[in-house]
Amino acid sequence: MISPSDSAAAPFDSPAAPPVLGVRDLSVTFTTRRGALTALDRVSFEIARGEVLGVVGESGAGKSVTGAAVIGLLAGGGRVTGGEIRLSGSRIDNLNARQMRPIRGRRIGMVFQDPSVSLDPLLTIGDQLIETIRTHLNLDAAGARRRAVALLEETGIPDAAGRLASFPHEFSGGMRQRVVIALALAGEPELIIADEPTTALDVSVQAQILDLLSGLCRERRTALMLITHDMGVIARMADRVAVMYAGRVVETGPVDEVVRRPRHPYAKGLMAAIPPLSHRPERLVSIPGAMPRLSAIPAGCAFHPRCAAAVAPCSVTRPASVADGAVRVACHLYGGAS
Amino acid sequence: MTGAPFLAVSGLTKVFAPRRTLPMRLAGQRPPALTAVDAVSFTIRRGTTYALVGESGSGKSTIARMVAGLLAPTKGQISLGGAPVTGAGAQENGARRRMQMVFQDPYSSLNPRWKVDDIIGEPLRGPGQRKGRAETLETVGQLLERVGLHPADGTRFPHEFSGGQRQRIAIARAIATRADFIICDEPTSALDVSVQAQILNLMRDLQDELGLTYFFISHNLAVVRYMADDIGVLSRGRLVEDGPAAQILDAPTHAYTQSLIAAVPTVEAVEEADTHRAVEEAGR
Repeated sequence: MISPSDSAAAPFDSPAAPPVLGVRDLSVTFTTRRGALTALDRVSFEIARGEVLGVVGESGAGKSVTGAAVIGLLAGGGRVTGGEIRLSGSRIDNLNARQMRPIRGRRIGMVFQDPSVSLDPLLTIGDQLIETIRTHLNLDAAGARRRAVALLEETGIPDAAGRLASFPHEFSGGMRQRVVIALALAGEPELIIADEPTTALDVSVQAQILDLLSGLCRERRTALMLITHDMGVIARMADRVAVMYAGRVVETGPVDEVVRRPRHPYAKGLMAAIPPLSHRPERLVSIPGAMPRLSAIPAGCAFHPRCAAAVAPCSVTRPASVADGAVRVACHLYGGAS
Repeated sequence: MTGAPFLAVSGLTKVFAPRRTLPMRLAGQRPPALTAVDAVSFTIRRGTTYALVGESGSGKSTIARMVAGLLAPTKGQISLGGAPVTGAGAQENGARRRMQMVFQDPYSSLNPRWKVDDIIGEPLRGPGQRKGRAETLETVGQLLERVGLHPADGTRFPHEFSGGQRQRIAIARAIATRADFIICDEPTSALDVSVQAQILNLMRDLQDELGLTYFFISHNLAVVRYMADDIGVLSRGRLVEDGPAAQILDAPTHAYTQSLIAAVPTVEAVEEADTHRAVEEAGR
């Protein structure tokens, strides 16, 4: 299962074609009794075919809202108020519910934290898989059944044909998440959005599920948007990472760059706060304070009140995202004012 | 900080008898008993941190509850500072008064209808404590400052605080009675990583300052490495390995410990080499 042996890096496309997912200046506002709250503020990123993008941030950073906006499932009065979302080149942020339905499940698969949210407790695994397959693919009942068995086999469910008649509660948490992955793959999507897919699982099961998910995505060259609070999961799984803070992307770049040499002071603080497994540091670096509430996002750079390196413009102007090598960073220290 | 054992657990066993359902009774059957904790023995030295690690269902919380005196063991002994925690006489000898718990979820472990002053002050007004209202409030104010909050925060309710601040309140409550043995059951697993660092640092500071002994329950090996002097690895109710933290994490001898450590996704993996894709290939 896990043996850090010889490496064989999986190659992926040169990004000449439009990215599978292109998000540009996406803003999302929630209307509440106390007024409008900006949950996402001009968020931009891209995911290429076969690529794994990790979206990382702490609670309230807006990572789950980003995923929900892409699949058109913003809850509780949330709506897209700016920017655009493109799936393989065509806009999907302006589609209505009826137009969005064939995209969700068919072109974008979903894996959530809690497998019991994605599975109907009153239907067998087989019913759910076959229904999903027949909704999205032009197959007869027997063909859909064969495909369901194949999917379960691919996701590592033993005795797949025999388990079609089982109900979700008859599976362990890890096995249930495998079924959810099979469901997400059923429509042969271009993109899978996985929101904290292993947070509810034990660490040994987590490793299996992560390896399964990224392996299947790489095999099919499916783009994967992996939303998590766990930088360790990102480091293991992702090709690139987007670090979010207070509804904004503060840094994006190749995973090893961001892990080895984070640029943004928040990304630096986040990396330094993770306790290492290999040694015991004298003291953990912690970032003073907490993530601001959506109703009180500071002016300028949202991180400036917690930032030890803040300079004069930080409290006034929001830094633009600028390139620093392979990394893009939104910080005045890197000339973000230009 | 001496090397003598402060907490001693020996042969601790807990067997749960599942409920006998009606069909079982009619058929004259008994459900099989479930051994959640199986003959576990370990000791904790005064002023140190002992961490119990293991996956869900391994029995770590069951052990914590027995050590806290919240659950009666089926077999085995627990003693704190030489006094038995369980069995006859445990109520009177004061062993339990020396211990406190900090729970995982700071949202459910604090009474939402009480002000912080009352939450922290309550144990100060227990039997044998002869403190007046003003004196109690002063002590509470000092405790709040000690955990990094402001004395004025005492007039607020738990919902007005963030998760990290609530855990600070829970810690203040734990040290209020001058308990010197604190059972910490996953104290930071509900917190964000930057806040987790604040709480772990605070717990280490308080340990140095007050000479506290921690019994630390966690599934997070990196957190355990930062906190623990000694580690016990629990699998299916049995202690498979125990010893100094560095030894357990750097040179684990038991196969289960090895697999547990190998499964942890770390950022160091990227720093060392680009092995994560290889790991993934090997996993398929």
